[in-house]
Amino acid sequence: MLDAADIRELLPHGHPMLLVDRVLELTPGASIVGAKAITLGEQCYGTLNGAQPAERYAYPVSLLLESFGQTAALLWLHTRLREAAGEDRIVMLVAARDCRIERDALPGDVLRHVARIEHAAADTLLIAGETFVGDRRVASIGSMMAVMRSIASLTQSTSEGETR
Amino acid sequence: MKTGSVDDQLCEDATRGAPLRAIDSLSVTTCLNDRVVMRASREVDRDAPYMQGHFPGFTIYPGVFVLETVTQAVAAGVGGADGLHVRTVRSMRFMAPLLVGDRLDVYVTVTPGEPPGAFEVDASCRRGDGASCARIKLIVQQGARAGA
Repeated sequence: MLDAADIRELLPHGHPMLLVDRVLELTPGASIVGAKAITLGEQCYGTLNGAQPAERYAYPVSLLLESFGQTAALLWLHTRLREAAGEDRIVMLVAARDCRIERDALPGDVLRHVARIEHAAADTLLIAGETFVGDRRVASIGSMMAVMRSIASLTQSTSEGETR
Repeated sequence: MKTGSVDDQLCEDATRGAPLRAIDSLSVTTCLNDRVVMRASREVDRDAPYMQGHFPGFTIYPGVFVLETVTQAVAAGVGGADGLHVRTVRSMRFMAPLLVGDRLDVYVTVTPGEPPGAFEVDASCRRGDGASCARIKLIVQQGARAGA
């Protein structure tokens, strides 16, 4: 099973945007279960203090969806990366549909993302799934699409930030 | 609601508990029959929170942060004192990358929905050079999420 070192090697994301802690289950080409612990020490909670109501501590939906997407990306990269060795490539979310957020996730919770591949072809991945905390569903993901792109294809210059 | 710039303190309040402040400026352009149209802008900044990790050595504004720009704009514009939460992401599409120095311009239409306190959100997003870069449709609800 993938450990922290494997996750760091496979995902192009870095701190503090690396949002998967552990892979619990993995069926190559089919499904994955990943975990992400939520802690008060995360950067998103830095602007909050005790005067803020409890609901302000709900884990941002943006990061919850990103964490789910990264979990699915691990399943894809686990297989594909060997094929793309030697080239700087990143995985990007390009679309999502029917993502329902049912409950807040809070510091101390562990998100458990259950993702399955609906379709995979060339550089495109289509996934769906759900996120749980314990046995309570937090979110359902109707569909999410990611693509794999080389960094060179995303820029028209070799220097970051130069005018297109 | 009046047209014009939204108070910066409301924009700042909308960022509490968020990964980053995802709007530099926000203005209400149209307010008619409970339907509100707003414009929000954000310049992609490699030094903003979380950006150093997306990705190390190559910074690109995450698609989920375009979602943040939209939700923070709605929260600041119509959220009220109790804030709001995202119930459903009906759809999101990201068509063009946003790199360091690019400006994200978001045109958001907010329409009251059901039940009371719910809003349908439709956001068209353009990059500063005019390229369409995202389209996001949401349902948001004022106040705290029930059953948390």
